[in-house]
Amino acid sequence: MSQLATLAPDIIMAFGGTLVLLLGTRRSDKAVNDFLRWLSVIIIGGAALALAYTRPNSLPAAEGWIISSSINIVFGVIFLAILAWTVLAAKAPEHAAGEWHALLIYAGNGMLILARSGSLAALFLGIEILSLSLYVLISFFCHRGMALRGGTMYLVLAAFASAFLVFGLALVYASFGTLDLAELAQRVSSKGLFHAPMAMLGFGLFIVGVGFKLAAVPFHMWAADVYEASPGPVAGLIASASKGAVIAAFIPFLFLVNTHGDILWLISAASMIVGNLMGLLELRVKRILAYSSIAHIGYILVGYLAGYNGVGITGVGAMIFYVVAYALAIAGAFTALSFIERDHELGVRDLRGVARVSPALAFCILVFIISLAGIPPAIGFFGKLYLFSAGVSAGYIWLPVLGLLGSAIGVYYYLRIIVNLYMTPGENPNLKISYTPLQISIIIATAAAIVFFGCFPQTMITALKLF
Amino acid sequence: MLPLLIYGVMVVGLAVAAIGMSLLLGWPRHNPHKDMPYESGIAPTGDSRIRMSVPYYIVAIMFIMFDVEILLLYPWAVNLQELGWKGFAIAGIFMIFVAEGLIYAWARGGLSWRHLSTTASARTSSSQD
Repeated sequence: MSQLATLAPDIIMAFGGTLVLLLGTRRSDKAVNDFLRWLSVIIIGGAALALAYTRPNSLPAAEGWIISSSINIVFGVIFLAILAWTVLAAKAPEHAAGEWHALLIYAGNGMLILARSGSLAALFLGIEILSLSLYVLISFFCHRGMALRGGTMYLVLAAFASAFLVFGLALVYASFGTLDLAELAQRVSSKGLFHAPMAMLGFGLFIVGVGFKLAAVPFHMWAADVYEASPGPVAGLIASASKGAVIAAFIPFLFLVNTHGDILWLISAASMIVGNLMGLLELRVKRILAYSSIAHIGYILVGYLAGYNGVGITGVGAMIFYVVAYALAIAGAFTALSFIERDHELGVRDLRGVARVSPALAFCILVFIISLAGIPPAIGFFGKLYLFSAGVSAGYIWLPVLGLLGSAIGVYYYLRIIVNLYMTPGENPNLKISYTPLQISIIIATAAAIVFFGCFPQTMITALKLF
Repeated sequence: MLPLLIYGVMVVGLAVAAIGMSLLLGWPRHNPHKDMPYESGIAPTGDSRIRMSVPYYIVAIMFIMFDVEILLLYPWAVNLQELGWKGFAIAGIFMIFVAEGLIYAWARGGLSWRHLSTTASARTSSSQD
């Protein structure tokens, strides 16, 4: 019975998604769409409640595939919250609301499995469920611009990366003879990795696969194109929850820092520098955010390298804090930008006049951008502070230095967005902004949360039990 | 190690010999019949890029999908005795999701040939506007 309780969130999500999908086929008008939206929120909320009330460290369920340590539960609840946020803030397509919501729920199911995977096979399963839903969600509005191109690009490259990942896992299995993560960590620590060249190679390929999913340099090529092609809320979901879920699944592999630390160091440093430098060259807003998300993965990897080191808040705790802080800002920014209707891709110049037409929306975008840039009143500042201080106390001096340099470079392109929002004179006759009261109130609430937690970060740390 | 080495040399040598000898002994002579694409001795006719009806494509995709899903039941069927009622329950849950796919396709009109061809032609004409 306790096994069923551990599996309850997944069962709710799988059957709930199916229910939404089938209900959506009957009629498609506004009433049905609203009903499906709230039904999805109830399903996701039910799964989150079931997850929050699982006893930490209860027995693994489903032959050891799903484990429930306290970190995994915290991560799972965070992802479900982001997902519910996306469902509420996004504008569901008129003709296919059932498919839209069902795919979001299935993606959430993938994140849940990924965040709580107890075996290498469950990890792969979670990644595949998540990616399969995202392929369709990216090109959901397939008549619009580059949507199909972006979806196809993600499909081909993600399948390629999955091949690396699964081959790496196969090599690891071949040398250690177990799929179970806890047992694997034990065998690695008792035998040592340096005497198992095949496992070294396997973990290297595994890092390639993970790096691709995180869009870390040098596996970042897809990010800008895919983010630009996908609908705003989906881009936000990929940048926040999907990457966070991969980070959560990567935490049991912390022993890799001993053997593959140099590679992770390089990936982290390169992401921070290259992401910020590429952002300088961009004039299209979604691509700017894409490059900024590459840089943010570099920051998060500093916390990963620090592991359980750190004064007060550990590297892992800082990562959880940062995933939340970053998700609030990036999902908010992508969704808020999707309210500005354009027939072509949104350029920086298209933001002119937004502050005059809709001051609330412009101010929310300002808060999100400030949080991404890491400027004090917003939560992003504390996220970076905890990550870098954990990095310093773990003995990585140069990474925080590079990170600070990168952030300084990044401020330039973040300010470019703000300057165009507020300080550029001239009318913009083509500007068309449309949102429902629900959407704008959620965006405002998110911006308020960013400022609140930025002023009182301690509240979030205690809420997430990070100490 | 030595037998493996000899084997490797022989493999590479044979491949090089086969290609090299054919280059040395028979010079390439082109004529229209020889340059024709060869497919099981049948002379090719027409263009390979023929127009295919969209409903056919969708039905073919659905066939492949359900075919692959049903294939996953074979390992269960072979081990039916050993897996017992627990295995039966798991296979049942799996079948619920396969059936869901079928019901979804049905409700969306994916099984009705006429519906598919009318929506397909409607979409092409609207995209040309």
